[in-house]
Amino acid sequence: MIPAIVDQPRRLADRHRRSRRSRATRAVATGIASGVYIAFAAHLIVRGFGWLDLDFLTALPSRFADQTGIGAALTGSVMMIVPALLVAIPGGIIVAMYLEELAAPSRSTRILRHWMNLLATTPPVIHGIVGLLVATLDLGLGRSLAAGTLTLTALLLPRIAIRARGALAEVPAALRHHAWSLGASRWQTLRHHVIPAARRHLLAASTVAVGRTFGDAAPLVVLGGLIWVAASPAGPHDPVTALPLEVFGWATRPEVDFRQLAAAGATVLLALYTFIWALGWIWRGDDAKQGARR
Amino acid sequence: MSALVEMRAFTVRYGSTLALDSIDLDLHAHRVTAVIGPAGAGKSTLLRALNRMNELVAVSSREGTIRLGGVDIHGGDIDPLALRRRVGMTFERPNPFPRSIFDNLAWGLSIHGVDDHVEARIEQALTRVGLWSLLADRLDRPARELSLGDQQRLCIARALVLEPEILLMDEPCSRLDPTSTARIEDLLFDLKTATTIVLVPHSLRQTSRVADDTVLLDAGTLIEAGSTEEMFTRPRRARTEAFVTGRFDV
Amino acid sequence: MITAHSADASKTRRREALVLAVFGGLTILIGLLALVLVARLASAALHGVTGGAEGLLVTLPAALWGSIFIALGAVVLAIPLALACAATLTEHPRIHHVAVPALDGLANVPTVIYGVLALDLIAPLLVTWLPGTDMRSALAAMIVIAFLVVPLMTSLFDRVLGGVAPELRHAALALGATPWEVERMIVWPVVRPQLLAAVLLCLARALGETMIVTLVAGSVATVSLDPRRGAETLSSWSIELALGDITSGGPHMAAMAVAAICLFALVAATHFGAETWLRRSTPEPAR
Repeated sequence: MIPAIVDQPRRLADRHRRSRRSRATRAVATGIASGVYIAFAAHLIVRGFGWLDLDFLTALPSRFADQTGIGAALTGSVMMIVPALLVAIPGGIIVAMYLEELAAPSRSTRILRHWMNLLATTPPVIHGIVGLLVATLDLGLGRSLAAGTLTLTALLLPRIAIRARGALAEVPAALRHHAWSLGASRWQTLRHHVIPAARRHLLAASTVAVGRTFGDAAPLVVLGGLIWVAASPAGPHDPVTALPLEVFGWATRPEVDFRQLAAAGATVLLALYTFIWALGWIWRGDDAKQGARR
Repeated sequence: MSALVEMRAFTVRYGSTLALDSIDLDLHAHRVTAVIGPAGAGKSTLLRALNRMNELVAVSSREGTIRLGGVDIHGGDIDPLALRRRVGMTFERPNPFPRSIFDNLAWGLSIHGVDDHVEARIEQALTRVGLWSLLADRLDRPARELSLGDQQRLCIARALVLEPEILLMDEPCSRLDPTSTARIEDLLFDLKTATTIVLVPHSLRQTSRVADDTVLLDAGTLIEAGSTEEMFTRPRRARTEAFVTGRFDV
Repeated sequence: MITAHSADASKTRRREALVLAVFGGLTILIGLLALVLVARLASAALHGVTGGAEGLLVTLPAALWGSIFIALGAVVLAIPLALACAATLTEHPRIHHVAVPALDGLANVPTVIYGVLALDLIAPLLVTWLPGTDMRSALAAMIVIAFLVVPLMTSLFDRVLGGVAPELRHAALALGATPWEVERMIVWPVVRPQLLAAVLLCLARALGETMIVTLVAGSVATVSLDPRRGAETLSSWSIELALGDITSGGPHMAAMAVAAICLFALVAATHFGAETWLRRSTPEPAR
């Protein structure tokens, strides 16, 4: 005869205790992790604060810590990233649309998807090395604005493609099925239903990729080295400097002044990145509200 | 006969929505009670109140009392984990764990610290749902290999192995084919000798086939409760008559 | 009548074919272009291996080791934190709409910022708190890279845990399990392959991280198991080569190509490992 099950109060209390303990541990770990990021940002701001003024934001690079600034670096960064965005955002979105919505399911499509994902995961330092090898040396562009822009485009496009695919995938499948059941073609479905539903999401998805690429130092360090650039470029073949490049350059110097400058530059970079990210969040937020109304 | 479960002025709110409005209800031992009503009437909420699952799956508040065997289930001396062992539950969609058949049945025992006669208990539970002869030599196979109907019976066995006093069944047949449905309905007659069943059926037909007692809910209020036969043949209220004859759209 | 609009229908079909050809052509073109670039890199690397790198390649084994050592260390440090954060998120679904974009933002912060922090904050702290640590150490790089991948890992974990059918949790809770028992004994084993795939994706990210290791890992080209010492990695080695003398087809360029192709192979292997895990993990049977 099987004995009846009897509750074991001590065991129950033990299980409750373990549950509570794990919950507390998780909460503390989450709190510590969040605290660390806040401490990181606070440290940067405190270290660099003394250097953050209008002169710093506008001055040209100088070998003296108290005369240098990020004016040329800011314009250089913008001049490099803007042409890259103009190509990479439409290009990335087209790639995403093809891979996510239009391509017939087949082995080659699957391989193409994997390849694009891998390109988006490829470390940016490799883009820098390929840029140096191909743009600078093979194509003879030298360490110029044009070489930088080409490299950033190659870096940005797969990143936008992968994020845009994510944005398209968030559109409910039912919407497509409705359109197809009415006899719409894949392109009509995409143009009239999926894109309007995902429009803001697509933009938002691009912004974070742009912010990250804007701040990527590794490819530019490889491509440009830490060469002396005293002015903003006047043409595509001129040498150029960029904000993340300056920050890295200062960080490699042993003097305390330059370390603080690096913190100040990193603060500005972080502020710009946060601004770009916030833009994405605002667009995305609106979209969510619209979705709720539908 | 005193009732196994006594619900008094029991109210559940999800945020500001009233899910159950001051329900007074008695459920009797060794009977199958069907909880019926239109969509959103609060049937699942009523079921989940009995094993205190509501407080886990949704933000809810409650008033009133539920007594099980005379003891308040919200009282300090009732542990919700122990309560859920005594009040088992199965769901609309068969949801065996993606593990072996044996592990599915043994897991409940292991978390409650039952380590004696494990094989015998599992054999007993599977026998009661009529799966033992089918599964005796393949207990180490993945549970998800079974047909949906057998998966649902396995889920019933998973609850039974803990010797529940009450078994809550939320639309156990709505995803199953007619043969599996018939098998589970037959099972209910055997099961009620050992336990008490509270069921949300998926059709009125099923209610009349399996339920001894019926409870009709609408928008969180109790319309009528009583023996199924009476409610279907001599309803006391017009709304009950309208519902059981399929004209409930008032 | 269905045939009445056949002219319209064929126009639609033609447009569809055109769009497909243009979009598909462009996508394939971009894919092929990338392939050509990788091939160019491989040929430069081959040149390096066959003697073009003039003895610079002695650093390669140490750099390979350092990359793997630091990335593995960082990911091991990040896993418990990310798991805790993801579990907290699953418990509080109402903070999702804030947490998901915030994590996305944190995961993509330009890494030179972390590099400055590593150099300026973490490395000095380690020197004081952990006597015997060098000013530039693999450990400092590991810690900062761990914090770099925690947001990415958390959002990947969160997506995995959120994708579990609610019925599974309900089934376990209804048997009288505590929420912790449900997560640890039911949910985690079910999604283990997806969690592993997420970890591998983060490993790929950690392997390629450049700025942090360049600034703080030191460039000590030795194979060492002691994280308190400095280490060289493929990416920091590349940067050092780049800051050296680069002339057309020079030995530095050839050595960089070798480093880049090794790093690419490592990341690609990790990435495809992740995708294989994901494919192999049996999804919930569709019903």
